[in-house]
Amino acid sequence: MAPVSGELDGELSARLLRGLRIAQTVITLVILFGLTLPNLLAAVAAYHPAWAAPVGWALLVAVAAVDALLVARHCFWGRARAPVALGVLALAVTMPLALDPAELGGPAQGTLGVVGWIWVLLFAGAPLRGLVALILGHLLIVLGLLVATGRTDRVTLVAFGITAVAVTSFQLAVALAGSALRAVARQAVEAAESEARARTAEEVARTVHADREARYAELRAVALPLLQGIGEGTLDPSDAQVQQAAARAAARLRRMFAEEGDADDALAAELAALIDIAERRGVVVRYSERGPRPVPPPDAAGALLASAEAALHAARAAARVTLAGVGGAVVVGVVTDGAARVPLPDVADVGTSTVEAGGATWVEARWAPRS
Amino acid sequence: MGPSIVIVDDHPAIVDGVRAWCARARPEIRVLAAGPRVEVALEEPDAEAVVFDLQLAPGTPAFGDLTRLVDAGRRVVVYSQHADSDTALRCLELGAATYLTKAEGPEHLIPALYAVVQDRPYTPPVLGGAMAADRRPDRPVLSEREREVLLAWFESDSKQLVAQRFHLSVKTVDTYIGRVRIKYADAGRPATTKAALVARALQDGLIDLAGL
Repeated sequence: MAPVSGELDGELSARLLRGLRIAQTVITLVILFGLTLPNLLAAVAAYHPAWAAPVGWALLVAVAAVDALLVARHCFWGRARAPVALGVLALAVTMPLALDPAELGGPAQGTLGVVGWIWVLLFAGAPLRGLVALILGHLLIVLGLLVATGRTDRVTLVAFGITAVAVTSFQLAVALAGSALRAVARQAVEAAESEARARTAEEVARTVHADREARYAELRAVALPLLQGIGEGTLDPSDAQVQQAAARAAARLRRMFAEEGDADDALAAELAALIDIAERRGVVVRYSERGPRPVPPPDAAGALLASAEAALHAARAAARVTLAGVGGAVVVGVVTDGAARVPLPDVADVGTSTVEAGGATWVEARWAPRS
Repeated sequence: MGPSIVIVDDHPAIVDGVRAWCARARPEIRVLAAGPRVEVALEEPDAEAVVFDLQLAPGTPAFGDLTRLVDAGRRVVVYSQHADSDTALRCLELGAATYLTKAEGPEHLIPALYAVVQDRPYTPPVLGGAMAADRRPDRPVLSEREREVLLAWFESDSKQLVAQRFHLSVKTVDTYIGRVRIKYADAGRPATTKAALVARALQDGLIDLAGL
Protein backbone atom coordinates (compact mmCIF):
# COMPACT_ATOMS: atom_id res chain seq x y z
CA MET A 1 0.00 0.00 0.00
CA ALA A 2 2.83 2.39 0.89
CA PRO A 3 4.47 2.80 -2.53
CA VAL A 4 1.09 3.41 -4.16
CA SER A 5 0.19 6.13 -1.66
CA GLY A 6 3.62 7.72 -2.08
CA GLU A 7 3.07 7.85 -5.83
CA LEU A 8 -0.38 9.34 -5.44
CA ASP A 9 0.86 11.89 -2.92
CA GLY A 10 3.80 12.79 -5.15
CA GLU A 11 1.59 13.08 -8.21
CA LEU A 12 -1.04 15.37 -6.72
CA SER A 13 1.30 17.73 -4.86
CA ALA A 14 3.66 17.78 -7.86
CA ARG A 15 0.76 18.85 -10.08
CA LEU A 16 -0.30 21.64 -7.73
CA LEU A 17 3.26 22.77 -7.06
CA ARG A 18 4.08 22.83 -10.76
CA GLY A 19 1.22 25.26 -11.46
CA LEU A 20 2.55 27.54 -8.77
CA ARG A 21 6.12 27.26 -10.07
CA ILE A 22 5.03 28.22 -13.57
CA ALA A 23 3.27 31.30 -12.13
CA GLN A 24 6.40 32.20 -10.15
CA THR A 25 8.58 31.86 -13.24
CA VAL A 26 6.28 34.15 -15.23
CA ILE A 27 6.29 36.76 -12.42
CA THR A 28 10.08 36.67 -12.18
CA LEU A 29 10.66 36.92 -15.94
CA VAL A 30 8.19 39.81 -16.24
CA ILE A 31 10.00 41.66 -13.45
CA LEU A 32 13.45 40.87 -14.91
CA PHE A 33 12.52 42.10 -18.39
CA GLY A 34 9.81 44.67 -17.64
CA LEU A 35 11.25 46.36 -14.56
CA THR A 36 14.87 45.45 -13.82
CA LEU A 37 16.14 45.69 -17.40
CA PRO A 38 14.81 49.24 -18.13
CA ASN A 39 15.95 50.45 -14.68
CA LEU A 40 19.48 49.07 -15.19
CA LEU A 41 19.75 50.39 -18.77
CA ALA A 42 18.79 53.83 -17.54
CA ALA A 43 21.44 53.63 -14.82
CA VAL A 44 24.35 52.06 -16.72
CA ALA A 45 26.35 55.24 -16.25
CA ALA A 46 26.02 55.03 -12.47
CA TYR A 47 27.83 51.64 -12.43
CA HIS A 48 31.64 51.49 -12.34
CA PRO A 49 32.53 49.54 -14.42
CA ALA A 50 29.48 50.11 -16.59
CA TRP A 51 29.30 46.47 -17.77
CA ALA A 52 28.49 45.37 -14.22
CA ALA A 53 24.82 46.21 -14.80
CA PRO A 54 24.16 44.12 -17.95
CA VAL A 55 26.37 41.24 -16.75
CA GLY A 56 24.59 41.08 -13.38
CA TRP A 57 21.23 41.15 -15.09
CA ALA A 58 22.26 38.44 -17.53
CA LEU A 59 23.37 36.18 -14.66
CA LEU A 60 19.98 36.56 -12.96
CA VAL A 61 18.22 35.79 -16.24
CA ALA A 62 20.42 32.72 -16.62
CA VAL A 63 19.37 31.40 -13.19
CA ALA A 64 15.70 32.04 -14.00
CA ALA A 65 16.15 30.27 -17.35
CA VAL A 66 17.71 27.20 -15.75
CA ASP A 67 14.84 27.14 -13.24
CA ALA A 68 12.32 27.30 -16.10
CA LEU A 69 14.05 24.26 -17.64
CA LEU A 70 13.84 22.40 -14.31
CA VAL A 71 10.13 23.23 -14.01
CA ALA A 72 9.58 21.91 -17.53
CA ARG A 73 11.36 18.68 -16.56
CA HIS A 74 9.56 18.32 -13.20
CA CYS A 75 12.87 18.73 -11.36
CA PHE A 76 13.98 20.71 -8.33
CA TRP A 77 17.32 22.36 -7.58
CA GLY A 78 18.27 19.80 -4.94
CA ARG A 79 21.93 19.99 -3.96
CA ALA A 80 22.59 22.90 -6.34
CA ARG A 81 20.08 25.03 -4.41
CA ALA A 82 22.40 26.28 -1.62
CA PRO A 83 25.44 27.23 -3.80
CA VAL A 84 23.29 28.96 -6.43
CA ALA A 85 21.28 30.83 -3.77
CA LEU A 86 24.51 32.00 -2.11
CA GLY A 87 25.92 32.98 -5.54
CA VAL A 88 22.85 35.15 -6.13
CA LEU A 89 23.40 36.71 -2.70
CA ALA A 90 27.04 37.45 -3.64
CA LEU A 91 25.82 39.08 -6.86
CA ALA A 92 23.21 41.11 -4.94
CA VAL A 93 25.98 42.39 -2.63
CA THR A 94 28.69 43.10 -5.24
CA MET A 95 26.46 44.95 -7.72
CA PRO A 96 25.56 47.74 -5.24
CA LEU A 97 29.28 48.05 -4.45
CA ALA A 98 29.84 48.92 -8.14
CA LEU A 99 26.99 51.44 -7.99
CA ASP A 100 27.26 55.14 -7.30
CA PRO A 101 26.39 55.43 -3.54
CA ALA A 102 23.87 58.17 -4.29
CA GLU A 103 21.77 55.68 -6.30
CA LEU A 104 21.71 52.98 -3.58
CA GLY A 105 18.24 51.86 -2.57
CA GLY A 106 16.70 53.41 -5.66
CA PRO A 107 15.56 52.01 -9.02
CA ALA A 108 19.18 51.94 -10.24
CA GLN A 109 19.94 49.18 -7.75
CA GLY A 110 18.15 46.75 -10.02
CA THR A 111 18.89 43.69 -7.91
CA LEU A 112 17.11 44.98 -4.79
CA GLY A 113 13.62 43.80 -5.64
CA VAL A 114 14.28 40.95 -8.03
CA VAL A 115 16.77 38.69 -6.20
CA GLY A 116 14.04 37.76 -3.71
CA TRP A 117 12.00 36.39 -6.62
CA ILE A 118 14.99 34.38 -7.82
CA TRP A 119 15.24 32.84 -4.35
CA VAL A 120 11.52 32.08 -4.36
CA LEU A 121 12.15 30.09 -7.57
CA LEU A 122 15.14 28.30 -6.04
CA PHE A 123 13.28 27.33 -2.86
CA ALA A 124 10.20 25.82 -4.52
CA GLY A 125 9.45 22.55 -2.71
CA ALA A 126 12.00 23.24 0.05
CA PRO A 127 11.53 24.46 3.66
CA LEU A 128 10.98 28.22 3.88
CA ARG A 129 13.64 28.86 6.56
CA GLY A 130 16.50 29.31 4.06
CA LEU A 131 14.43 31.62 1.85
CA VAL A 132 13.41 33.87 4.77
CA ALA A 133 17.01 33.99 6.05
CA LEU A 134 18.36 35.00 2.61
CA ILE A 135 15.74 37.71 2.00
CA LEU A 136 16.19 39.25 5.47
CA GLY A 137 19.97 38.93 5.31
CA HIS A 138 20.01 40.67 1.93
CA LEU A 139 17.88 43.57 3.22
CA LEU A 140 20.13 43.96 6.28
CA ILE A 141 23.26 44.07 4.09
CA VAL A 142 21.72 46.76 1.84
CA LEU A 143 20.68 48.70 4.96
CA GLY A 144 24.27 48.37 6.21
CA LEU A 145 25.57 49.75 2.88
CA LEU A 146 23.20 52.73 3.16
CA VAL A 147 24.43 53.45 6.68
CA ALA A 148 28.09 52.96 5.70
CA THR A 149 27.78 55.46 2.83
CA GLY A 150 26.14 58.02 5.11
CA ARG A 151 22.70 57.82 3.45
CA THR A 152 20.86 57.87 6.78
CA ASP A 153 18.48 60.72 5.95
CA ARG A 154 14.82 60.05 6.69
CA VAL A 155 13.62 60.18 3.06
CA THR A 156 16.11 57.52 1.91
CA LEU A 157 15.42 55.21 4.86
CA VAL A 158 11.63 55.50 4.55
CA ALA A 159 11.79 54.90 0.79
CA PHE A 160 14.01 51.84 1.36
CA GLY A 161 11.67 50.59 4.10
CA ILE A 162 8.60 50.89 1.85
CA THR A 163 10.34 49.10 -1.02
CA ALA A 164 11.63 46.38 1.30
CA VAL A 165 8.29 45.71 3.02
CA ALA A 166 6.22 45.84 -0.18
CA VAL A 167 8.47 43.59 -2.26
CA THR A 168 9.36 41.16 0.52
CA SER A 169 5.76 40.64 1.64
CA PHE A 170 4.79 39.75 -1.95
CA GLN A 171 7.63 37.25 -2.22
CA LEU A 172 6.95 35.64 1.15
CA ALA A 173 3.21 35.46 0.40
CA VAL A 174 3.86 33.55 -2.82
CA ALA A 175 6.34 31.22 -1.07
CA LEU A 176 3.85 30.62 1.77
CA ALA A 177 1.18 29.82 -0.79
CA GLY A 178 3.49 27.07 -2.05
CA SER A 179 3.81 25.61 1.46
CA ALA A 180 0.08 25.82 2.06
CA LEU A 181 -0.58 24.14 -1.26
CA ARG A 182 1.67 21.23 -0.29
CA ALA A 183 -0.16 20.86 3.04
CA VAL A 184 -3.55 20.91 1.30
CA ALA A 185 -2.33 18.35 -1.22
CA ARG A 186 -1.15 16.09 1.60
CA GLN A 187 -4.52 16.30 3.36
CA ALA A 188 -6.38 15.61 0.15
CA VAL A 189 -4.23 12.55 -0.45
CA GLU A 190 -4.77 11.33 3.12
CA ALA A 191 -8.52 11.69 2.74
CA ALA A 192 -8.44 9.81 -0.56
CA GLU A 193 -6.31 7.08 0.97
CA SER A 194 -8.51 6.58 4.00
CA GLU A 195 -11.50 6.31 1.67
CA ALA A 196 -9.62 3.73 -0.40
CA ARG A 197 -8.71 1.81 2.75
CA ALA A 198 -12.34 1.77 3.87
CA ARG A 199 -13.40 0.49 0.44
CA THR A 200 -10.70 -2.19 0.56
CA ALA A 201 -11.76 -3.26 4.07
CA GLU A 202 -15.36 -3.61 2.88
CA GLU A 203 -14.25 -5.64 -0.10
CA VAL A 204 -12.08 -7.85 2.12
CA ALA A 205 -14.96 -8.37 4.56
CA ARG A 206 -17.20 -9.39 1.66
CA THR A 207 -14.61 -11.83 0.34
CA VAL A 208 -13.97 -13.29 3.79
CA HIS A 209 -17.68 -13.76 4.30
CA ALA A 210 -18.05 -15.55 0.96
CA ASP A 211 -15.01 -17.66 1.79
CA ARG A 212 -16.54 -18.62 5.13
CA GLU A 213 -19.80 -19.58 3.48
CA ALA A 214 -17.87 -21.81 1.10
CA ARG A 215 -15.94 -23.39 3.97
CA TYR A 216 -19.10 -24.12 5.94
CA ALA A 217 -20.58 -25.72 2.85
CA GLU A 218 -17.48 -27.93 2.74
CA LEU A 219 -17.88 -28.62 6.45
CA ARG A 220 -21.43 -29.84 5.86
CA ALA A 221 -20.18 -32.16 3.14
CA VAL A 222 -17.28 -33.59 5.15
CA ALA A 223 -18.37 -33.76 8.78
CA LEU A 224 -22.13 -34.00 8.75
CA PRO A 225 -22.46 -37.45 7.06
CA LEU A 226 -19.90 -38.79 9.53
CA LEU A 227 -21.68 -37.35 12.56
CA GLN A 228 -25.04 -38.49 11.19
CA GLY A 229 -23.72 -42.01 10.66
CA ILE A 230 -22.32 -42.23 14.18
CA GLY A 231 -25.53 -40.78 15.60
CA GLU A 232 -27.75 -43.22 13.76
CA GLY A 233 -25.50 -46.14 14.57
CA THR A 234 -24.67 -47.00 10.94
CA LEU A 235 -21.00 -46.07 11.61
CA ASP A 236 -19.08 -47.62 14.48
CA PRO A 237 -16.75 -45.22 16.38
CA SER A 238 -14.49 -48.17 17.27
CA ASP A 239 -13.97 -48.98 13.59
CA ALA A 240 -10.47 -47.94 12.50
CA GLN A 241 -11.77 -46.60 9.20
CA VAL A 242 -14.36 -44.43 10.89
CA GLN A 243 -11.69 -43.15 13.27
CA GLN A 244 -9.46 -42.26 10.35
CA ALA A 245 -12.29 -40.45 8.59
CA ALA A 246 -13.02 -38.57 11.81
CA ALA A 247 -9.34 -37.58 12.19
CA ARG A 248 -9.35 -36.32 8.60
CA ALA A 249 -12.49 -34.31 9.14
CA ALA A 250 -11.12 -32.92 12.42
CA ALA A 251 -7.90 -31.82 10.74
CA ARG A 252 -9.87 -30.00 8.09
CA LEU A 253 -12.09 -28.37 10.68
CA ARG A 254 -9.03 -27.17 12.57
CA ARG A 255 -7.66 -25.59 9.44
CA MET A 256 -11.00 -23.97 8.67
CA PHE A 257 -11.37 -22.50 12.13
CA ALA A 258 -7.81 -21.35 12.55
CA GLU A 259 -8.15 -18.55 9.94
CA GLU A 260 -4.44 -18.89 9.37
CA GLY A 261 -2.08 -16.62 7.76
CA ASP A 262 -0.37 -13.28 7.32
CA ALA A 263 -0.62 -13.35 3.54
CA ASP A 264 -2.63 -15.04 0.88
CA ASP A 265 -1.18 -16.07 -2.47
CA ALA A 266 -0.93 -18.73 -5.10
CA LEU A 267 1.86 -20.60 -3.28
CA ALA A 268 -0.32 -20.95 -0.17
CA ALA A 269 -3.22 -22.12 -2.31
CA GLU A 270 -1.10 -24.76 -4.10
CA LEU A 271 0.28 -25.92 -0.78
CA ALA A 272 -3.29 -26.24 0.53
CA ALA A 273 -4.09 -28.45 -2.46
CA LEU A 274 -1.10 -30.72 -1.65
CA ILE A 275 -2.23 -30.92 1.98
CA ASP A 276 -5.70 -31.82 0.80
CA ILE A 277 -4.32 -34.77 -1.18
CA ALA A 278 -2.36 -35.99 1.85
CA GLU A 279 -5.43 -35.68 4.05
CA ARG A 280 -7.45 -37.75 1.62
CA ARG A 281 -4.87 -40.50 2.20
CA GLY A 282 -5.61 -40.27 5.92
CA VAL A 283 -2.60 -38.20 6.96
CA VAL A 284 -3.39 -35.67 9.68
CA VAL A 285 -1.73 -32.42 8.62
CA ARG A 286 -1.05 -29.39 10.77
CA TYR A 287 -0.44 -26.23 8.79
CA SER A 288 0.94 -22.83 9.84
CA GLU A 289 2.16 -19.81 7.98
CA ARG A 290 4.06 -16.79 9.22
CA GLY A 291 5.37 -13.51 7.95
CA PRO A 292 4.77 -11.41 4.84
CA ARG A 293 6.16 -13.14 1.75
CA PRO A 294 7.45 -11.91 -1.58
CA VAL A 295 6.07 -13.81 -4.58
CA PRO A 296 8.73 -16.19 -5.98
CA PRO A 297 9.05 -16.56 -9.76
CA PRO A 298 7.11 -19.55 -11.20
CA ASP A 299 10.11 -21.92 -11.48
CA ALA A 300 11.15 -21.23 -7.87
CA ALA A 301 7.58 -21.69 -6.62
CA GLY A 302 7.45 -24.94 -8.59
CA ALA A 303 10.65 -26.18 -6.93
CA LEU A 304 9.34 -25.32 -3.45
CA LEU A 305 6.10 -27.17 -4.15
CA ALA A 306 7.89 -30.19 -5.64
CA SER A 307 9.94 -30.54 -2.46
CA ALA A 308 6.84 -30.23 -0.26
CA GLU A 309 4.98 -32.74 -2.40
CA ALA A 310 7.76 -35.33 -2.17
CA ALA A 311 7.99 -34.88 1.60
CA LEU A 312 4.21 -35.12 2.09
CA HIS A 313 4.10 -38.19 -0.12
CA ALA A 314 6.30 -40.01 2.42
CA ALA A 315 4.03 -39.10 5.36
CA ARG A 316 2.32 -42.11 6.95
CA ALA A 317 0.00 -40.70 9.61
CA ALA A 318 1.03 -37.17 10.54
CA ALA A 319 2.71 -34.16 8.97
CA ARG A 320 3.45 -30.57 9.84
CA VAL A 321 3.57 -28.09 6.97
CA THR A 322 4.80 -24.52 7.36
CA LEU A 323 5.14 -21.59 5.01
CA ALA A 324 7.20 -18.64 6.19
CA GLY A 325 8.44 -15.32 4.88
CA VAL A 326 11.62 -14.30 6.68
CA GLY A 327 13.95 -11.54 5.62
CA GLY A 328 12.88 -11.60 1.96
CA ALA A 329 13.14 -15.41 1.71
CA VAL A 330 10.24 -17.85 1.30
CA VAL A 331 10.60 -21.09 3.27
CA VAL A 332 8.43 -24.19 2.93
CA GLY A 333 8.94 -26.74 5.70
CA VAL A 334 7.45 -30.24 5.93
CA VAL A 335 7.98 -32.57 8.90
CA THR A 336 6.65 -36.10 8.52
CA ASP A 337 6.80 -39.48 10.19
CA GLY A 338 8.15 -41.08 7.01
CA ALA A 339 11.46 -41.16 5.18
CA ALA A 340 11.22 -38.66 2.34
CA ARG A 341 13.27 -38.68 -0.86
CA VAL A 342 13.35 -35.12 -2.01
CA PRO A 343 14.41 -34.12 -5.53
CA LEU A 344 17.42 -31.79 -5.67
CA PRO A 345 16.17 -28.54 -7.17
CA ASP A 346 17.95 -27.19 -10.22
CA VAL A 347 16.50 -23.71 -9.95
CA ALA A 348 18.32 -20.46 -9.21
CA ASP A 349 18.18 -19.29 -5.59
CA VAL A 350 16.34 -22.41 -4.36
CA GLY A 351 17.97 -24.78 -1.85
CA THR A 352 16.69 -27.73 0.14
CA SER A 353 17.81 -29.45 3.31
CA THR A 354 16.72 -32.69 4.94
CA VAL A 355 17.18 -33.47 8.64
CA GLU A 356 16.20 -36.72 10.36
CA ALA A 357 15.91 -37.31 14.09
CA GLY A 358 13.78 -39.47 16.35
CA GLY A 359 11.82 -41.04 13.51
CA ALA A 360 10.85 -37.67 12.04
CA THR A 361 12.05 -36.24 8.74
CA TRP A 362 12.14 -32.52 8.21
CA VAL A 363 12.45 -31.26 4.65
CA GLU A 364 12.98 -27.59 4.07
CA ALA A 365 12.98 -25.80 0.72
CA ARG A 366 14.03 -22.20 0.66
CA TRP A 367 13.90 -19.54 -2.04
CA ALA A 368 16.32 -16.76 -1.10
CA PRO A 369 16.74 -14.31 -3.98
CA ARG A 370 20.15 -12.65 -4.21
CA SER A 371 19.33 -8.99 -4.42
CA MET B 1 1.33 -29.97 44.82
CA GLY B 2 0.97 -28.73 41.26
CA PRO B 3 0.18 -25.20 40.10
CA SER B 4 -3.32 -23.71 40.19
CA ILE B 5 -4.96 -21.86 37.30
CA VAL B 6 -8.12 -20.16 36.11
CA ILE B 7 -9.59 -20.68 32.62
CA VAL B 8 -11.27 -17.76 30.88
CA ASP B 9 -13.02 -19.08 27.78
CA ASP B 10 -16.59 -18.77 26.59
CA HIS B 11 -16.61 -22.16 24.94
CA PRO B 12 -17.62 -25.04 27.28
CA ALA B 13 -15.91 -27.60 25.05
CA ILE B 14 -12.57 -25.79 25.33
CA VAL B 15 -12.95 -25.41 29.11
CA ASP B 16 -13.70 -29.14 29.43
CA GLY B 17 -10.76 -30.03 27.23
CA VAL B 18 -8.29 -27.88 29.20
CA ARG B 19 -9.71 -29.27 32.49
CA ALA B 20 -9.13 -32.81 31.24
CA TRP B 21 -5.50 -32.06 30.23
CA CYS B 22 -4.87 -30.42 33.62
CA ALA B 23 -6.33 -33.40 35.52
CA ARG B 24 -4.10 -35.82 33.56
CA ALA B 25 -0.96 -33.70 34.04
CA ARG B 26 1.64 -34.84 36.58
CA PRO B 27 2.03 -32.96 38.86
CA GLU B 28 -1.65 -32.23 38.52
CA ILE B 29 -2.70 -28.71 37.62
CA ARG B 30 -5.67 -27.54 39.71
CA VAL B 31 -8.36 -25.50 37.96
CA LEU B 32 -9.69 -23.11 40.61
CA ALA B 33 -12.37 -21.56 38.43
CA ALA B 34 -13.52 -21.24 34.83
CA GLY B 35 -15.92 -18.96 33.03
CA PRO B 36 -16.59 -16.81 30.03
CA ARG B 37 -15.67 -13.48 31.66
CA VAL B 38 -12.35 -12.01 32.76
CA GLU B 39 -13.76 -11.28 36.26
CA VAL B 40 -13.54 -15.01 36.99
CA ALA B 41 -9.75 -14.65 36.95
CA LEU B 42 -9.61 -11.28 38.73
CA GLU B 43 -11.70 -12.69 41.63
CA GLU B 44 -9.37 -15.67 42.11
CA PRO B 45 -6.17 -14.12 43.50
CA ASP B 46 -4.61 -17.49 44.39
CA ALA B 47 -4.45 -18.71 40.80
CA GLU B 48 -0.84 -18.81 39.60
CA ALA B 49 -1.71 -18.47 35.92
CA VAL B 50 -4.67 -17.66 33.69
CA VAL B 51 -5.52 -19.51 30.47
CA PHE B 52 -7.13 -16.76 28.47
CA ASP B 53 -9.20 -16.98 25.29
CA LEU B 54 -8.59 -13.82 23.30
CA GLN B 55 -11.93 -14.00 21.53
CA LEU B 56 -14.50 -13.73 24.33
CA ALA B 57 -17.05 -11.99 22.16
CA PRO B 58 -17.47 -11.92 18.39
CA GLY B 59 -15.51 -9.12 16.76
CA THR B 60 -12.35 -7.57 18.10
CA PRO B 61 -9.89 -9.53 20.28
CA ALA B 62 -10.12 -8.79 24.01
CA PHE B 63 -6.85 -6.81 24.32
CA GLY B 64 -8.47 -4.63 27.03
CA ASP B 65 -9.22 -7.65 29.24
CA LEU B 66 -5.70 -8.94 28.68
CA THR B 67 -4.28 -5.60 29.82
CA ARG B 68 -6.49 -5.71 32.96
CA LEU B 69 -5.16 -9.16 33.84
CA VAL B 70 -1.54 -8.10 33.26
CA ASP B 71 -2.01 -4.91 35.28
CA ALA B 72 -3.37 -7.09 38.12
CA GLY B 73 -0.02 -8.93 37.99
CA ARG B 74 -1.42 -12.14 36.47
CA ARG B 75 0.63 -14.52 34.36
CA VAL B 76 -1.49 -14.94 31.27
CA VAL B 77 -1.25 -17.77 28.77
CA VAL B 78 -3.20 -16.51 25.77
CA TYR B 79 -4.94 -19.45 24.12
CA SER B 80 -6.37 -18.21 20.90
CA GLN B 81 -7.86 -19.27 17.62
CA HIS B 82 -6.26 -16.24 16.01
CA ALA B 83 -3.13 -17.33 14.23
CA ASP B 84 -1.84 -14.10 12.71
CA SER B 85 1.54 -12.74 13.79
CA ASP B 86 0.35 -9.27 14.69
CA THR B 87 -2.12 -10.55 17.28
CA ALA B 88 0.49 -12.85 18.86
CA LEU B 89 3.18 -10.16 19.06
CA ARG B 90 0.69 -7.59 20.35
CA CYS B 91 -0.24 -9.93 23.21
CA LEU B 92 3.43 -10.28 24.20
CA GLU B 93 3.80 -6.53 24.04
CA LEU B 94 0.82 -6.11 26.38
CA GLY B 95 2.53 -8.44 28.87
CA ALA B 96 1.10 -11.91 28.21
CA ALA B 97 3.45 -14.66 29.43
CA THR B 98 3.04 -16.65 26.25
CA TYR B 99 0.75 -17.15 23.28
CA LEU B 100 -0.59 -20.46 21.95
CA THR B 101 -2.85 -21.09 19.03
CA LYS B 102 -5.63 -23.55 19.77
CA ALA B 103 -4.06 -25.98 17.29
CA GLU B 104 -0.97 -26.11 19.55
CA GLY B 105 -2.93 -26.86 22.73
CA PRO B 106 -2.52 -30.65 22.95
CA GLU B 107 1.31 -30.55 22.92
CA HIS B 108 2.13 -27.16 24.37
CA LEU B 109 -0.49 -25.88 26.82
CA ILE B 110 0.50 -27.99 29.83
CA PRO B 111 4.30 -27.45 29.42
CA ALA B 112 3.59 -23.73 28.93
CA LEU B 113 1.67 -23.60 32.22
CA TYR B 114 4.48 -25.36 34.14
CA ALA B 115 6.98 -22.89 32.68
CA VAL B 116 5.06 -19.66 33.21
CA VAL B 117 4.16 -20.32 36.87
CA GLN B 118 7.92 -20.36 37.45
CA ASP B 119 8.31 -17.16 35.40
CA ARG B 120 10.30 -19.12 32.81
CA PRO B 121 9.90 -18.28 29.13
CA TYR B 122 7.88 -20.60 26.92
CA THR B 123 7.72 -20.04 23.19
CA PRO B 124 5.50 -22.42 21.21
CA PRO B 125 6.45 -22.85 17.53
CA VAL B 126 3.87 -20.52 15.97
CA LEU B 127 4.87 -17.71 18.33
CA GLY B 128 8.51 -18.45 17.43
CA GLY B 129 7.57 -18.11 13.76
CA ALA B 130 5.94 -14.76 14.45
CA MET B 131 9.13 -13.54 16.14
CA ALA B 132 11.37 -14.84 13.34
CA ALA B 133 9.22 -13.11 10.71
CA ASP B 134 8.72 -9.91 12.74
CA ARG B 135 9.31 -6.93 10.42
CA ARG B 136 7.90 -4.15 12.60
CA PRO B 137 10.27 -1.18 12.84
CA ASP B 138 10.50 -1.26 16.67
CA ARG B 139 11.04 -5.03 16.96
CA PRO B 140 13.85 -6.32 19.20
CA VAL B 141 17.14 -6.95 17.40
CA LEU B 142 17.80 -10.69 16.88
CA SER B 143 21.06 -12.24 15.78
CA GLU B 144 21.08 -14.18 12.51
CA ARG B 145 21.51 -17.45 14.43
CA GLU B 146 18.62 -16.64 16.78
CA ARG B 147 16.36 -15.93 13.83
CA GLU B 148 17.37 -19.17 12.06
CA VAL B 149 16.81 -21.25 15.20
CA LEU B 150 13.39 -19.68 15.76
CA LEU B 151 12.39 -20.28 12.15
CA ALA B 152 13.56 -23.90 12.42
CA TRP B 153 11.59 -24.34 15.66
CA PHE B 154 8.51 -22.96 13.91
CA GLU B 155 8.99 -25.30 10.95
CA SER B 156 9.78 -28.49 12.82
CA ASP B 157 8.05 -28.20 16.24
CA SER B 158 10.96 -30.36 17.45
CA LYS B 159 13.97 -29.09 19.35
CA GLN B 160 15.71 -32.34 18.52
CA LEU B 161 15.41 -31.66 14.77
CA VAL B 162 16.57 -28.07 15.25
CA ALA B 163 19.56 -29.25 17.29
CA GLN B 164 20.46 -31.85 14.66
CA ARG B 165 20.27 -29.36 11.85
CA PHE B 166 22.52 -26.72 13.41
CA HIS B 167 24.79 -29.21 15.22
CA LEU B 168 23.80 -27.82 18.60
CA SER B 169 22.63 -29.46 21.82
CA VAL B 170 18.90 -29.35 22.63
CA LYS B 171 19.82 -27.24 25.65
CA THR B 172 21.54 -24.64 23.46
CA VAL B 173 18.52 -24.54 21.16
CA ASP B 174 16.42 -23.90 24.27
CA THR B 175 18.76 -21.11 25.28
CA TYR B 176 18.45 -19.38 21.90
CA ILE B 177 14.65 -19.57 21.95
CA GLY B 178 14.50 -18.43 25.59
CA ARG B 179 16.83 -15.51 24.99
CA VAL B 180 14.69 -14.14 22.17
CA ARG B 181 11.66 -14.31 24.45
CA ILE B 182 13.54 -12.24 27.02
CA LYS B 183 14.43 -9.67 24.35
CA TYR B 184 10.71 -9.33 23.67
CA ALA B 185 9.98 -9.03 27.40
CA ASP B 186 12.50 -6.21 27.52
CA ALA B 187 10.71 -4.24 24.78
CA GLY B 188 7.55 -2.16 24.77
CA ARG B 189 5.22 -1.40 27.65
CA PRO B 190 6.63 -2.38 31.07
CA ALA B 191 4.74 -4.90 33.21
CA THR B 192 5.50 -6.77 36.43
CA THR B 193 5.09 -10.09 34.58
CA LYS B 194 7.79 -9.02 32.11
CA ALA B 195 10.11 -7.93 34.93
CA ALA B 196 9.62 -11.32 36.63
CA LEU B 197 10.51 -13.10 33.39
CA VAL B 198 13.71 -11.07 32.96
CA ALA B 199 14.69 -11.48 36.64
CA ARG B 200 14.20 -15.26 36.43
CA ALA B 201 16.23 -15.44 33.21
CA LEU B 202 19.08 -13.62 34.95
CA GLN B 203 18.96 -16.07 37.89
CA ASP B 204 18.89 -19.02 35.53
CA GLY B 205 21.88 -17.67 33.62
CA LEU B 206 19.83 -17.59 30.39
CA ILE B 207 21.01 -14.01 29.89
CA ASP B 208 23.51 -11.82 31.70
CA LEU B 209 23.23 -8.14 32.53
CA ALA B 210 25.44 -7.25 29.58
CA GLY B 211 22.99 -9.07 27.29
CA LEU B 212 20.12 -6.82 28.29
